[in-house]
Amino acid sequence: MKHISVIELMYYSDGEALLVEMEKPTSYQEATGYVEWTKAMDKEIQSIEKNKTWKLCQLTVGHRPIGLKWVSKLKKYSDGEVVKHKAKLVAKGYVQKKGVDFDEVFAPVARLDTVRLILAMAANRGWQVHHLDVKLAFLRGELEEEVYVKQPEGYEVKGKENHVLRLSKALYGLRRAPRAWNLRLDRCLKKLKFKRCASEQAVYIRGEGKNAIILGVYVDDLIVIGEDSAEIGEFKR
Amino acid sequence: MSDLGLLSYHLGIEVGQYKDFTIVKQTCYAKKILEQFGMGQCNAAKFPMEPGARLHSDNDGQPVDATQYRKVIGCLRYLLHTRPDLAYTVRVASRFMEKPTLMHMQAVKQILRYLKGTIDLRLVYTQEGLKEELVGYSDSDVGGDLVSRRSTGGMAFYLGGSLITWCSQK
Repeated sequence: MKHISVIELMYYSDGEALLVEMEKPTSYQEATGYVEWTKAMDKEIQSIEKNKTWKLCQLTVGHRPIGLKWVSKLKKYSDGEVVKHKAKLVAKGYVQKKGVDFDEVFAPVARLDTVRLILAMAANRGWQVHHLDVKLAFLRGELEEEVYVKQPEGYEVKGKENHVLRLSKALYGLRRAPRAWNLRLDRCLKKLKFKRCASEQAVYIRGEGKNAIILGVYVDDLIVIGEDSAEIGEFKR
Repeated sequence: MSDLGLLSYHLGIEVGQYKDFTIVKQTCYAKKILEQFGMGQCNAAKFPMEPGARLHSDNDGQPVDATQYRKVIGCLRYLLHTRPDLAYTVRVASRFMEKPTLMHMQAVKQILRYLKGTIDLRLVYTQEGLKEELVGYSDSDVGGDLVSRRSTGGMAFYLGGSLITWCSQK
């Protein structure tokens, strides 16, 4: 993983310019000592635990735990002022092998032609186009297969250092994460009586005439059109 | 789930919704492309390609940086999502990504100069064609390639007066 310099601070002393470069930490060790980064990591671990993503357990024979990795991001305003330190825990999904660890990774997304078609239909019928976004979409996907990950660096449970974590929900980086999310969304929409379009899997339709709602899915972005704004408002929950 | 209100921006495509029509454009993205390839201040051109120009593989031409060439093409191809007028020229230019020469680079620069002058072009979806009907058009130059004798064809589909999909293909 390459280091990307994020902040370049200039200190002037006695007319001499000194360039200090701070880097985004790529591991727990690098982050220790920086309060902001350790705080961000604590927060990420908390949200994962709240989400009930994993359970500590013994490794069953025949499974290999996948390593985890920290990816950190600095969110800045356009003038360079730092807004937020963000740490994301990702799985090293590249060690997963097709046929062994997973089979299907395909997840449909709406083609841009479809998006344009939806927009054209909405314009033609005088409907409004609404936009919904799902937060932390991939973390909501439920995994069907057994996936074990190593304990994240710096957050090992004392006395159980050699235990692993069994995932029940997806993490970023897993090969099946997009599909797991899509399946969950599909089930959820079908429960809401949406029908999946046979020729374009990323389009869902519910109702007819006045109550019709058409939905285009692009991973975690949903484009919603319908005549009745009350119906849409209700769908938005 | 968070509600972002009316759709205004999706995958780099700007959407504007008004009372009787909707616009779809990529002006911001186009500006970014021009800046990225140092064409932000260039003079605008009237045509995306010289009329009657016949690009060929140009085996003896002076080679240019192929990576850079492919980058430009890649960016331009994403722009095609709202710019049917560029479909043909970009498609032609992308045939030479393997070994681009000065001649091809000049053709691409011409496209960028044309883009500079037409940066605000957009698709407009109106309410006038009330009948929701799919209408398609197609054409072909019948063996337009002088060497391989293969044709370049194009098609465009409208839904009740709104252009929704198009393509140009050899």
